[in-house]
Amino acid sequence: MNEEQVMSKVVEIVRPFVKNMDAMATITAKTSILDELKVNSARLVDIVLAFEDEFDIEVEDEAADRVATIGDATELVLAKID
Amino acid sequence: MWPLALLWLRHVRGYRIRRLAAVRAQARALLRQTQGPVLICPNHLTWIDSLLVQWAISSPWQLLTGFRFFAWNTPEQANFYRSVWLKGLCYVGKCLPIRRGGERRAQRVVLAKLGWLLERGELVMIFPEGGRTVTGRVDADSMSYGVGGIANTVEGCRILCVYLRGEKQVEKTVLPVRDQVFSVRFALITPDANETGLRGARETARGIGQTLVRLENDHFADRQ
Repeated sequence: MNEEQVMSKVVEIVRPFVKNMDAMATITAKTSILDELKVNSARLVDIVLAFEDEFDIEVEDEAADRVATIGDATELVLAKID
Repeated sequence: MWPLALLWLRHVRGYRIRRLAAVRAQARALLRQTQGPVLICPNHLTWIDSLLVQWAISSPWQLLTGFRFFAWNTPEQANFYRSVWLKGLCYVGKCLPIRRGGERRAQRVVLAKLGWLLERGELVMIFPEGGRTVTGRVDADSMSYGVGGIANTVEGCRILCVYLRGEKQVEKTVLPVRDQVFSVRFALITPDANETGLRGARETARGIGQTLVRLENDHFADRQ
């Protein structure tokens, strides 16, 4: 799975938690999940658990804490599936 | 400070708690029933819910004999640490500020401190919804999983779910309207997550949310 494919899946996983749908139209790797997409911080855990299920990986708490942008999430997944 | 807070609640704001003596007796019985740590998880509608819950669960005399019955709190830093006098109140009121939506690492430090306090027999109060409920009704799906994480991590921890609501409270407010009577309901639950880690935390947090929803449904059923 290449970076583009992973990012596309990451965006689909994040989508149900997004409150600012306008920001989805211009989403990039630099888009902040909390500040721009307005995802509730408590729901970040759901997103990380969804990554685990979708990509069959295990994410440590410390690694999950570093996820701030779509790019961070994509990198995290890529590092785990490599 | 606490007697002053009680005077303000009762005589300046004119609040009352329905069947206060019976409510406190039930809280005492539930707390006595637990031999280990107790995490208090109330619903959240106003900025002073922690004061109201504290008023409901323990009498001033009980606090004189054991200050551990005065629960630790986690007020939102942005709301309660704006002025020196609010900071002072929070300091004497056993508060550990937390920043909602802030860095998860910083939040985990606060949660770890709360876990440490629980292990030492202190009462800890956390609003599992994170903030005041937007709709005025408990949303079981909006629970903060950190609460579940603490409950799962601290050995023997029980959760005292508290549903408190003023008769005129429709949705979230800063203060409840004056001269209001509050109803209080309790349910003591034991975390029994089948999973560990974040999944276990989510399971326990959802259990807390479902219990609060049940208490809320009972509250409105009684009113009808």
